Amino acid sequence: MKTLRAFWLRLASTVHVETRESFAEELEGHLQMHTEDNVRKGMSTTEARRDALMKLGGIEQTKELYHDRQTLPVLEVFMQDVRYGLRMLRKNPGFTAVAVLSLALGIGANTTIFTVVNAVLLRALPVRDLPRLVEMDTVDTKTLVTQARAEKIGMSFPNFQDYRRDNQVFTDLAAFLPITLTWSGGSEPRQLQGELVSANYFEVLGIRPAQGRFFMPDEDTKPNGNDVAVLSYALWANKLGSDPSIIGKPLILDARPYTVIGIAPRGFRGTITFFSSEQVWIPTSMKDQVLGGKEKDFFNDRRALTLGTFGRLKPGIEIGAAEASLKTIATHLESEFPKDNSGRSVALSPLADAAVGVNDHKRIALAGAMMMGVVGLVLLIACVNLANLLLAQGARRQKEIALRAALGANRSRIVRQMLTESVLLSLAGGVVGLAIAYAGRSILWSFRPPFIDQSGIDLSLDSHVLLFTLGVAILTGFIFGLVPAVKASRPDLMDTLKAGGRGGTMGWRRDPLRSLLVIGEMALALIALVGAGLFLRSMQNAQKTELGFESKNLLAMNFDLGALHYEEGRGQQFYRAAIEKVKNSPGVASASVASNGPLAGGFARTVFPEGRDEASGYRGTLTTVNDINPDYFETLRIPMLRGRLFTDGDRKETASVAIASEAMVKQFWPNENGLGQRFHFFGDTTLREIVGVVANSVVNEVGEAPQPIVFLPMTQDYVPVATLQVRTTGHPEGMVATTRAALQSLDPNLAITNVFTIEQIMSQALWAPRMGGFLLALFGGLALLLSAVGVYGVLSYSVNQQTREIGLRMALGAQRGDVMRLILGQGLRLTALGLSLGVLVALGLMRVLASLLFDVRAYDPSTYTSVTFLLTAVALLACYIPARRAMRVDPMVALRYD
Amino acid sequence: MAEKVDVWQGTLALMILKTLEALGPLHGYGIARRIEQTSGDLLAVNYGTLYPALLKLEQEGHIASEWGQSDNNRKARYYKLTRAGRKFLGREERDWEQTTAILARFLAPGKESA
Repeated sequence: MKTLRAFWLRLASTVHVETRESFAEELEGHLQMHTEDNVRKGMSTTEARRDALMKLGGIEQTKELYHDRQTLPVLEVFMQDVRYGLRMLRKNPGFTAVAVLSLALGIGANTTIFTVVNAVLLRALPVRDLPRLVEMDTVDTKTLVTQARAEKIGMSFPNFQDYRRDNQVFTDLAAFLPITLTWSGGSEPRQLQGELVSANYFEVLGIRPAQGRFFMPDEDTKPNGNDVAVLSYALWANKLGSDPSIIGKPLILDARPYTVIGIAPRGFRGTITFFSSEQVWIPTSMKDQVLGGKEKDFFNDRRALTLGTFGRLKPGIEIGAAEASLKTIATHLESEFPKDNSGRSVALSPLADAAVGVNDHKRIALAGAMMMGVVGLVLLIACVNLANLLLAQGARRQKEIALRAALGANRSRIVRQMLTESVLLSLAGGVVGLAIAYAGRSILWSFRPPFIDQSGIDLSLDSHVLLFTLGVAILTGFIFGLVPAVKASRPDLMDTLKAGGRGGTMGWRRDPLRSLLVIGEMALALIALVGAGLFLRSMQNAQKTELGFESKNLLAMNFDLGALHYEEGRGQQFYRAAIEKVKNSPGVASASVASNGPLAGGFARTVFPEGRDEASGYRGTLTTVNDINPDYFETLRIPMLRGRLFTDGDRKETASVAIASEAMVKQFWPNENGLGQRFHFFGDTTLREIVGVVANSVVNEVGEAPQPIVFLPMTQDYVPVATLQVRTTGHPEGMVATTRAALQSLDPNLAITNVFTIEQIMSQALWAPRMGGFLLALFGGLALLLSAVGVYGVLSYSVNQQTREIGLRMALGAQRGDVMRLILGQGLRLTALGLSLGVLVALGLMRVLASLLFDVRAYDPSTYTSVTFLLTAVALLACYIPARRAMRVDPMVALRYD
Repeated sequence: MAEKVDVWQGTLALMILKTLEALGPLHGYGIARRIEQTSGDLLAVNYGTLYPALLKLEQEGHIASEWGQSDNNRKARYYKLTRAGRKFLGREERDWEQTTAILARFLAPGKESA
């Protein structure tokens, strides 16, 4: 405390230097009093004064001591350094501008990428004590899965209830199920995102409502009176004008009034990063009113893994121990319900990681690390350039430094002074870099597809980003400043250097430090470019992949009949009427409904081929199910390979039929053509016969392995939530209004959502990889440019240093070509060394990233070759300019010069 | 006359505080003279070193100062003990006594074994 107080006072006096005069006065008073005393004792006035001064120990010394105690000398020296550094930077505006600009590009690139990483991965969920929250997922070791990244799947509601009751490791376990709701009451029905949640949801997260209250503990169990809703802050603010009197009032959701009981705190949008910020939460007891179709049927099915669950670990219990303990419950549940649970256990993941998708976190984190790595390399290259510039400057400032040393500055003082200068430079670079990042972020943001607009991703430059930039800037200053500073402070080394400059051969032995810079720079550039190249190639490959359907002139939109409480008969009738109405609109070639939208995934069920079932030990395969009407394949232009299409004749009372994708046939009957084969779903005895086989088409994402898909006729397997696909003859955008009107003429209360053309959906799906590719190409280009400038700088400096030697050689008869070869050879030797080093490091690094690459090997020879070739060409150019200058050296001038 | 002993760090602060406790508000010169006198002229206080020590005590809040008139009508800065300083002095005195007591035992080991 005391020392802190003293520190602040000293700090204040350092800035504010008024007291020094008052001390001079105090000291003078002291001397006079002492002199008077001495005179009284009988000394002469002069003698008395001299004695007083001697006793004091000198006025200036005392003042100095007093001053040191009064202020913070370290800080004072530092401020002196800063003032001096600023003066030096002002004196060399050209150098300063180049340095600040190249640093700003490097730091700006880092800040831009960090802003994205921060928004997606680092910005913690706004909940209490996040590290203690874990997501619980099912792992199924028995059922075969063909989709990538589906190791961890959700929970079923009955299993969730058992884990919640029996576990010893959580203070409590909560569940959520994402839903969509139709909100009517505004001018037009609007679809909202929301979650069915267990009543303890908010309590487990440990958050308090901004307004009103959260759920009562019994609101997910008591028989009625549970039609209550909590709204997210953003929904309340954007759609309800932040009206506090909304609490207690009804909101019409899915044609049913829900009482708004509370508003969640600002910024909270559930536990999933990519969710919309506008959310509604409703207790699970309302499932029958909110869910429709299969979701409703499967909610209480122990087999159906539809729920997300998370818990708060009890104090002192770690995630590993908790998982082990839960696995014993899993074993019990397996033996108690062998049919549903056999082969199934649980796994825990930190909720913070699971927020971007429990199976995607690793990949997203790796991609983030890769992007950070590339921009980090760009910044390192900029650092190497600056180190080189500073070295050259140091040589020029030799005299000044020698003078300072002669005046008593010790080495550490000189190093500190030089470092202050480089950190000043990098801080200036940081400020400009921040401006670049701000602009870059705005550009990225302006290209965002609609789905990001809806999600709550917030690319703001928050305090984390600012701190990151500051840290990077300071670190950068040290990285590029340290070597030149230490070197400048060592005049003896400079002497040897000078000696080297006069005779001897050029290159490594003459100037190892600069040679190292060139080698390092080429190596860094190679790593950055190989990284960028491999990923660009991978993205190209992914985009070349066939979709399996024709994406031009195709429109899709969603609607939910369940929300309007249609029962099956009315629903089927609606589908028929809708297709009829839309198909007959001018400009429409064909239309169809399906349960799954294009690239939107879909419900998957475990398929067992006839003759191979659970009893025979066969492990079923999770297969995507798409319920369609007969026009589907024609509308999407998916080629029929064998067999027949569905017809209106396929009805409930006729034989159960299915159409398989080629991949499905390959999965279950690898040696057959599939026609006539029969299968059943888990928990369902109905045998369905395959009557047709179609070509593969994409289910979840562009570039995925061909997925088994089973198509069922909507007439035999009704779902109330569907996507309408419309094949138009002209531009699909023009048909949106017509189609929308056609559907709403059938039911004005129907909310029509996610209206997109397939091209839009594709560009959404490809936005992230395309943006990533664009950024990688940009940063790769930056790395290339910076390293070219760097190599050029080093060589041109070295040519300048060797002017005399070159002149001598030419005077002794060397031809211009020899000189050219000499300089080029010098540069290219270093380049070759740097590139070989880079290749070695890159080979090691890229192996780690191999899992992110699509259809490209981490050691893809053509990428390595072309990058090496490119860098060699650039280095050649960078060497050529100084070499040409060397060639033109006039021996007479050069020799006279020294 | 015995050789003069230099004042070592830390003890000077204690002497200043004790002086101010005994004599009340006093200027720097007065404190220096008083320390010298009390020590029976055995201590050589370089008066100059006194002022940084006073400043440190003031920064730490143990003493406070203000300008005033000296006996012979000179302007001088007067230092006085603060409440915190008084408490600090009490603590330091106890510590000091303890230290000297321990040291005394070391310096006269014969007594203990006897």
